[in-house]
Amino acid sequence: MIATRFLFALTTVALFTGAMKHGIEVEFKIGNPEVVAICTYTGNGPAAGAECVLFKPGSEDEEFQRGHTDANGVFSFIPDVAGEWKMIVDDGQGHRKETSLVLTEAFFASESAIPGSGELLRSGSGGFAALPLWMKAVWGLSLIFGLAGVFYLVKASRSVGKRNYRE
Amino acid sequence: MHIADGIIATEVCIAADAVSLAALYAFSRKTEAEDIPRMGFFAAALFVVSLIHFPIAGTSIHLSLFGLAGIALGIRAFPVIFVALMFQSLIFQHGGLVTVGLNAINMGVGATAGWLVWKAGGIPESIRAFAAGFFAVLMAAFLMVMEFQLTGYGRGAIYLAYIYSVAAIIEGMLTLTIVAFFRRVKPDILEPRP
Repeated sequence: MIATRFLFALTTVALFTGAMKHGIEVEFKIGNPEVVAICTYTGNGPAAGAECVLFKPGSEDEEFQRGHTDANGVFSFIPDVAGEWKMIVDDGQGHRKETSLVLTEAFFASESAIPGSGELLRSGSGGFAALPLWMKAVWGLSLIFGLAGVFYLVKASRSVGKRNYRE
Repeated sequence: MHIADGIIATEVCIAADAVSLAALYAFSRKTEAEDIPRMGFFAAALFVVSLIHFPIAGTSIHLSLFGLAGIALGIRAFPVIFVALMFQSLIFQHGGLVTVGLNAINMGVGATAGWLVWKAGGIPESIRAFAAGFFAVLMAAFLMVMEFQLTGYGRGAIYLAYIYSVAAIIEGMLTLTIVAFFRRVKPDILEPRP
C-alpha cells in the first residue's frame, strides 16, 4: 500500500510540475522566404546552442546548411525547392531529434511579405505522438504492470509445477 | 543521460544490445515470483521519474532513481532498468531504441555501484543512502561521457561533468529522503533478496 502511494505521488509530481518530454522538440514557423525552426526541451525552455544540420529534399548525403541554435533555441534557413527537408538537431549531450518538414510548391508560390508571420507546425505530432503526456504515462504504467503480472503468473505457475512434480 | 539513436556507431550499439540481453537473462534467471511485484513497482517508478526534469546551464537534466533501484533490488536492478528504458524509448521517445542496450549498461552499472556503496559496512545509513544515489548517477554519467569521448561526440567532458555532478547531488539527496521514508514506513523494501 505504501509502495502504491509512493508511485502515485511520483506520477502525480511528474505530471503536474510542468514536466513533459525531456528530449528535443522542434516546431517550424513557416514564413516567406525563410523557415524558422524553434528547438526546445519541451516544457523546459529552449535548446540553446544545439547543432542543426539541414538536408535538401533528395540529397541526404549533402548538407544544405549547418549551424547552431541561438539562445532562444532558434535556427532559420531559406529553402529553395519544394519537397521533404530533413533536419537533425543535436545538443551534444546525447539528446537528438531527427525531423522533417514538407514544403509544397504552394509555399514558393505564395507572396507573404512579412517574414516569420507564417503558420506554426509541430514536427512528429501525428498519431501516438499527439496523445497528451498523462495518457502516455498511464499507458506505459499499465503496460509495465501488465507485463509484471504476466511474468508473475508464469513464475508462480512454474514454481507450483515444480512443487507438484516433487510431491 | 539517455543516449539517442544516431550518436554512437550502430555496430557498437548492437554489440551493447547483445551484452545487455545476455545480462538480462543472467540477472533474471533466478528471479522468483515474489520478486516480481517489487520489480514491477520499481520499473514503473523509474519509467515515470524521468519525466521530472529541470533546466540547468542551458540544458535539461532529470531524476533517475538508479541508486534507489540498486538499494532495493540489488543485481535485479538491471532487468528493471532495461524494461523502464525500453518503455521510455517507445512511449516518450526518451533515448533511442537501438541504444537501449548501451543505456541499460551505463545505468545498470550505476545502479550496481549504488548497491555496492549501500552494502558498505561501518558507515551511517544516511551517508550510504546519499552516496548510493550520488555514485549511481556519477558512474552512469562517467560511462556515457567516456563513450562520447571515444566517439568524438559532445560538448566536452568538463561541461558534462559539471552538469551530472549537480544531477548526482540532487539524486543523492532524493535517495536519502526516500530511504528515510521507507525505513520509517516499510523497512523491508530496503533489503533485497540475495
